[in-house]
Amino acid sequence: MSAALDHPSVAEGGTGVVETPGRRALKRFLRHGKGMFALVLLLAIILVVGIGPIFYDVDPTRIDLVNTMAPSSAEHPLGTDENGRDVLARLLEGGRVSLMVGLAAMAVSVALGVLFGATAGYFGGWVDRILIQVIDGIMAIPLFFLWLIFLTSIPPTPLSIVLVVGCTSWMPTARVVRSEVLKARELEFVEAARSLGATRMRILFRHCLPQATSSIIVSATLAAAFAIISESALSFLGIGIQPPRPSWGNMLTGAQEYLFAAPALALYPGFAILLLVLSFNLLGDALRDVLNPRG
Amino acid sequence: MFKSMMRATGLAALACATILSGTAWAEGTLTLTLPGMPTGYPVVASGGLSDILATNVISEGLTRWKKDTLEVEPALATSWEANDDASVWTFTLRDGVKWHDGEPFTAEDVKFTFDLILNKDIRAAAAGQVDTLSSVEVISPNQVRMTFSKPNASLPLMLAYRMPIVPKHILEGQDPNQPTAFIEHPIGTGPFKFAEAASGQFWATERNEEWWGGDVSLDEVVFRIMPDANSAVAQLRAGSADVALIRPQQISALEGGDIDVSAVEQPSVYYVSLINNKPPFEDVKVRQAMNYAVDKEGIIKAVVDGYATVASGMIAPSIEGYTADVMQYPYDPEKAKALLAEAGWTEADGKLSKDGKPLSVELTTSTGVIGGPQLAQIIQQQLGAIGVEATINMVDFRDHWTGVFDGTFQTSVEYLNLQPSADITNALSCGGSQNRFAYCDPELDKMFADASAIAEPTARKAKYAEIQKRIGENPPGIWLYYPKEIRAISKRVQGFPQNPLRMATTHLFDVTVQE
Amino acid sequence: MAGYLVRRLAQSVILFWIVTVLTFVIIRQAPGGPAILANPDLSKEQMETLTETLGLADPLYVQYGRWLGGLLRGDFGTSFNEGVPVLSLIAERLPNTLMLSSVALVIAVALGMGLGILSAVKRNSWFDGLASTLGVLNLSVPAFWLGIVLILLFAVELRWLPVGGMPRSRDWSLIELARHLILPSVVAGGFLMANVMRYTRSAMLEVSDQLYVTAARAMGIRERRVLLVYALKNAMLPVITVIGLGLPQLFAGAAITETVFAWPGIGSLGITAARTGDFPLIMGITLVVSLIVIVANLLTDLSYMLLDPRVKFS
Repeated sequence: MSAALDHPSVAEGGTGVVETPGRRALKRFLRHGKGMFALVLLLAIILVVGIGPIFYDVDPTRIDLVNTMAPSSAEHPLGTDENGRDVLARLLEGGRVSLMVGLAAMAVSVALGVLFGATAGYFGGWVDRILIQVIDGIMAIPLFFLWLIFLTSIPPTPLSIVLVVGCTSWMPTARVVRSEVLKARELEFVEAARSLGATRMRILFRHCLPQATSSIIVSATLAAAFAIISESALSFLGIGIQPPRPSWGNMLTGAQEYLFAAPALALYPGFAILLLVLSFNLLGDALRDVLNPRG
Repeated sequence: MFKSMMRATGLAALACATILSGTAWAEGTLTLTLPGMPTGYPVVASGGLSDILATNVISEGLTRWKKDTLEVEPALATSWEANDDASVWTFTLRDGVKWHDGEPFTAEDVKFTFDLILNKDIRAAAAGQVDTLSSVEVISPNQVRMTFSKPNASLPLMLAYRMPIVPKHILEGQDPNQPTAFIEHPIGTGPFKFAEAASGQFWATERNEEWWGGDVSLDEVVFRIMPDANSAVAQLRAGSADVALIRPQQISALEGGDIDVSAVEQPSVYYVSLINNKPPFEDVKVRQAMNYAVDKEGIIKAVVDGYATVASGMIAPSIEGYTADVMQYPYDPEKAKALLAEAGWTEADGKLSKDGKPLSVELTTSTGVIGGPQLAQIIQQQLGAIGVEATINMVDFRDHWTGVFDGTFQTSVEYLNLQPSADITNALSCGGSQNRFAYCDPELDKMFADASAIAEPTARKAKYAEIQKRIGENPPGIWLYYPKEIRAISKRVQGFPQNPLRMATTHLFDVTVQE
Repeated sequence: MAGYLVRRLAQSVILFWIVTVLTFVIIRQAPGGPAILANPDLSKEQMETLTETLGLADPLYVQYGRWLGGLLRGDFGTSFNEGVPVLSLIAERLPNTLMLSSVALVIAVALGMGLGILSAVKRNSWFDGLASTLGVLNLSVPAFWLGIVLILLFAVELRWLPVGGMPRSRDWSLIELARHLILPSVVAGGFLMANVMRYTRSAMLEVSDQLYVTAARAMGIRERRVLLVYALKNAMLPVITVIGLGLPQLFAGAAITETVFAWPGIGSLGITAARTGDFPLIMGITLVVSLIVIVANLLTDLSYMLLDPRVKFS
């Protein structure tokens, strides 16, 4: 109990209102230039892609008999693609698809990472040793070829892409969570809880994992960036999202064929991917600076 | 005296000029682009189009295409004759022909080749073309007799297509499906011989000095492997490729360069196959309605920028025996609706149904069909406009081709590179080996049999015209268009044949490339 | 240390085996099977005969046994599509990928470390900001798009560089090779370069704060020597980690780069093989690429041990 009186907010003559690490971090974040830029950019993209189609109500799959590869006009602000489909509509719809698939894959990846990492870190012993071997092992496999093989053998639906990407990219998260949980295990209040008779599961969830939160968040943003680039690469190669459903990646496949005739078609989707991934990467960097998970 | 001196000088000058200009024109490398790597083994041709183009340059058949038309002229066979009902053919082979390794070409090679093609354990690409061939015998070192179980009047035409002769003395010991030693160094009798290849990069041939056909103008014919269409266009513009097949949308990228873009007729057809032995397509009225419901001219404009002609059957205009005098199906949605009404389909809320079941159509296609997905979408919209519920089923291209024959797909948007004769028995006879429509018209089968027994060309043509008329009234599928082959040829190239590339490549020996 | 290596090797062999079995089984699930079956000219009977001839009608374990047996004899099978032995096909194209990857690696490490060091030295200056922006952009850009954009700029618009491909061996000269290599290697190495730059910079900043370096400075040794000799040596460890982790990625990334630039390496070969169900070729490439990755990882571990004897391997 005496520890409370030594808390800086009281000892230094403060009012005693505890400023949690979370609130401190939030303040720091709001002052972080790159971080704010990234957050605003990300929210802007999500907003445009999510709500845009309500205002811009054009069918992204409607083929136009006459108007292929048309330049920008009032009717088609960004022109039309090699099939006469409106580019802006496809960008919006493609963004939704790419974003949803990317975020879903990230969720799978993070969930698996937390699961395996926490298990390894908390239970230790042979469980830990086996999981480490598995993690190292999977990281040694040429993942891209595995994706290639999977997605050329089973039908590439959004679900299968989410699973394939998610189930093979959880390792970095697992490693990070594992080391955080290992550290957390040794903390005083955890030992205290244990001596008070709390069950292992309770300790794991209520005490150890929260320590890992900031690392998990940072990992999640990087996982999202990775997932989005991966989906677009797979779609570009033709083994991701299948046309006519647009995805920023598969819009580039068509654009590459007609690079000479309509170079602009290659610029829009790629630039969109760049912006989205950039925002996740910058966000992750900013969060890492602000949350300072490694102490 | 002075005059004769003048004349002599003049002649000498002329001779020099001819020799010198001849030398300047005799040099050159012709570079063509291919989408994939050829194997050089024509019997199996697992490389598809790439194989056809490449093997045409180094191998030859008994007959070959003329330079600019789809007629045939003698090649390895100098003459031929048939018996009265065209079921027994005797070929006289050319003397003095040597394989690229110096060995002499004989009748044994011909027999060996056709035995391979007929062998059921080998996936010979041309097997379907000669499936009524019962035996090939060597009568003398330069004569071969082919016996067919049914009359086959268009044999000489067929022999020019994908049936080059292969060397017995080399292929004898090798696995006929994958003769790896042969593939590493293919041997033929043609105007060019294989020089070297690098996987994924190029497949190069050089002049065959010993060719029976005389002088070959070019030094080399090189095939560059360009898996994506874009690179091919770039190579053309940069001048490192001379000939390439391109799509209509790429034409604008080649304007203003030293490149000639031309479109030629080719024996290919795009269509939608329908399963004829199940509802709703068992009813001929429904099939006719489908043909009226689709705006073929509009499709041609949209998908191939006008580089095609409306199709009215399975035989393309460039094929001998083609007739345009068949039932046409111009775009007429009202007529389509009327036909469907006659067939018992009633409309409610813009959707057609009969006996409580809606008229639903599943359009299957894959990215293996160039333009397939766009075609499917356009057709879906147009069928929807007359009340047909059309859905699109995109499959993997492998699934597509393997599923085509067993009726897995109710309809399929696809194309065919046609064989050069009007004898399409295989494709449309009841139980025919290439019948993708489950089409069966016993009367038609009889007409096919009759036609191939007629030896006299004009009478045979008339019979095929009747056949096409009959098919026209009872269409097995929705005919879309005959695509033109669009090729980009550098202006440096002189004398390139007018035929589509897969025929033209047999005739490259008198092409020249100006350096 | 020997014990560690042996254990790693054993682990690798098991991994190897799992990957091959997994690959073997999965590729046979592909609808329609190998593309050579999917030939509209073949009749039904021919397709069935072909399936038998290729041994695809036998039960899976028999097929796997056959493949494994062939492998032990050094026979990797014959490519369905190209009709030549898988081993010779891979042997022909592997050097091209190694060429591309090596150049990409050198560019990534040289540029990465160079920029990283300079950024550390000119900490928080405009240079630092610019370099780090370049870095994060490189991490965020999809490699295939970067390739397309560079092609658009340098090959289509400016016409300085070729659109892709590799020059024929008889046309080889330093200039020709350089012209064809520069764009693909920049694209393939971009991601790694960004990571190397980051880690070099942060490692150097960390280290330059450490006491003994301050002590060295106090002793009067020139600043540059201090930096390079002491700081760099200790910054190597995390950098090697990053390179080691990045090597498998480099090979994977090379596959997409090779496709965009039509570079005839095993990456583009693998992609074509996977899409057309060329089973023997897929198995061969999976094997070879796995081997390369395992060797690369072992090399990374070895360099750890050489650089820092303190590193323990538990």
